[in-house]
Amino acid sequence: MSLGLRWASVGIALLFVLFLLLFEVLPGLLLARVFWSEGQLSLASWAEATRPLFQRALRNSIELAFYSALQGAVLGTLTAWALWSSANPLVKRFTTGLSAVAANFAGPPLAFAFIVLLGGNGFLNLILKGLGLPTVDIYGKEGLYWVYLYFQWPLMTVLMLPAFGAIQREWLEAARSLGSNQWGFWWRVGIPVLLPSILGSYILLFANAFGAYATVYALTQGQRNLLPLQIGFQVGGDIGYNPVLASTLALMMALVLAVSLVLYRLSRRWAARMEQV
Amino acid sequence: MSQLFRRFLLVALGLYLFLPILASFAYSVATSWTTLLPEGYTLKHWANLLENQRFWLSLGRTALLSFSVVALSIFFLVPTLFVVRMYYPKVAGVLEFLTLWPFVFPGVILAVGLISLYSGPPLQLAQTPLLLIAAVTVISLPYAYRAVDNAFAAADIKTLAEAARSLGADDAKTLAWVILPTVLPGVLSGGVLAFSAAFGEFALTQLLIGTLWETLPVYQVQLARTDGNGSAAITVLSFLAAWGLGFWALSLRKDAKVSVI
Repeated sequence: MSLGLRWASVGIALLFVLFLLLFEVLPGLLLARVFWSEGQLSLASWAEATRPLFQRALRNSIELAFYSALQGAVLGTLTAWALWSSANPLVKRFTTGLSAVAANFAGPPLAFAFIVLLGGNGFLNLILKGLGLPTVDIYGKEGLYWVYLYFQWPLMTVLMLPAFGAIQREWLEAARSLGSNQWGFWWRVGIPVLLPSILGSYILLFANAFGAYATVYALTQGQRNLLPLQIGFQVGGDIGYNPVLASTLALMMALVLAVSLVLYRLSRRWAARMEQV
Repeated sequence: MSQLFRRFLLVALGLYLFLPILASFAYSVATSWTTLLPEGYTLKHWANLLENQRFWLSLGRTALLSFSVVALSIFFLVPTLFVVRMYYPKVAGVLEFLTLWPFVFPGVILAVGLISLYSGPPLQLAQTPLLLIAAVTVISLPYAYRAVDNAFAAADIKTLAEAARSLGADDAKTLAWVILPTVLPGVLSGGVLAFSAAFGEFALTQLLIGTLWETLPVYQVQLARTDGNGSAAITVLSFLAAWGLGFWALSLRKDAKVSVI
């Protein structure tokens, strides 16, 4: 390559690194400034951020992410299995594409779509009422699970498909001819092979729900004690601007996500080893 | 039995993904809807929305934001991945680390850091569209990076460049006629994914700039307070945009594999 072309590209690459430092890395790292006050280490902001109100917000967020990811993981794994064993390649391709696209659909449009469906006069609630069944309160605690399932279920489906791809259908035939039934095959071979991928994907779903802000904000106008909403309130809410508290809560949130990321990378390594066997 | 269960699962997923959108569409053309089916149908809500200047302005800002993010992403990613793949493969790890960063620092957290960093001199960018464009570029980077990086990896540009050179092509020709056409579908797919992510972005927009520079999702939240039917029409539009872009991006790649991280 001519030097001109090469160095022009290197120049843009360096500019890119500068851009990332300014708008990605520094804003994250400088959050830790809250632990310095007048030139020395101070934990005052941490004490403020661990007040019962925010402890509850953290607990609520973890609980929401935990169960929302669990629902998505169970349904998504089963759906990936259904696609794996489905003979029709057209169904497979269509569902995979649909899931890949739906997994990224969130925010205000999704929240309002579910309000039309499950709000006070929502279409499904009218049907449930007509059948004499209990209705769904979309603004209540379980409501959020219904909405999050919209992206968690297809996300898990898409994440699990490659893992199922590692299981050869011939193995199932081989197990059968050796006298094992379907359940025995999944219990001894299928699930052990899939387990690292299930765990890794579950962690991604957990982080996905834990960090979500847009959907729950639009659904409840921010009226819910969850960590991302509390952080939003501290920077742009009506209560006033409290950058130190916002930064400390943001660090708390980043810590949970960092642990998730490490666990995810570990599970990927485990999965890679599993697929080699 | 298991055949039945498989069908049930796939039908249930399909219903779950389509029903909310179909209901929103019905709501956007319903006169009133308090019984099982809408009482009547009308295009009034759509007409109201399309005559509303605020809607067009917010859509214009969303388009401006999305195109800027795509332009910035491609401007940075293509030359960077080109030199890294071609000359400095050891740096690839650092780049990958930087694209993992938004996983730990998602929109809400990034917004807090950006506000405290850019609220005062030397770079007073808070509450400007420029800061929003930069921030949304950072957040949508993992999508665009994956697609462009996969394209460069699949093309094996080092071998391509050597082959072109041995056939007598000079460097500019190699780049213009061999390397860029090979990676173009991947770059396009990355651009479409970044566009889609920027189009639906809400957390950063609301926290960094809010109603000062109203984008479509922010406008929808405002509109939903007074006009549920109009908001449902925006849901339908957002859905069409996201799904259209998503399927377009998928069709640009040879493999249907989807990688998140």
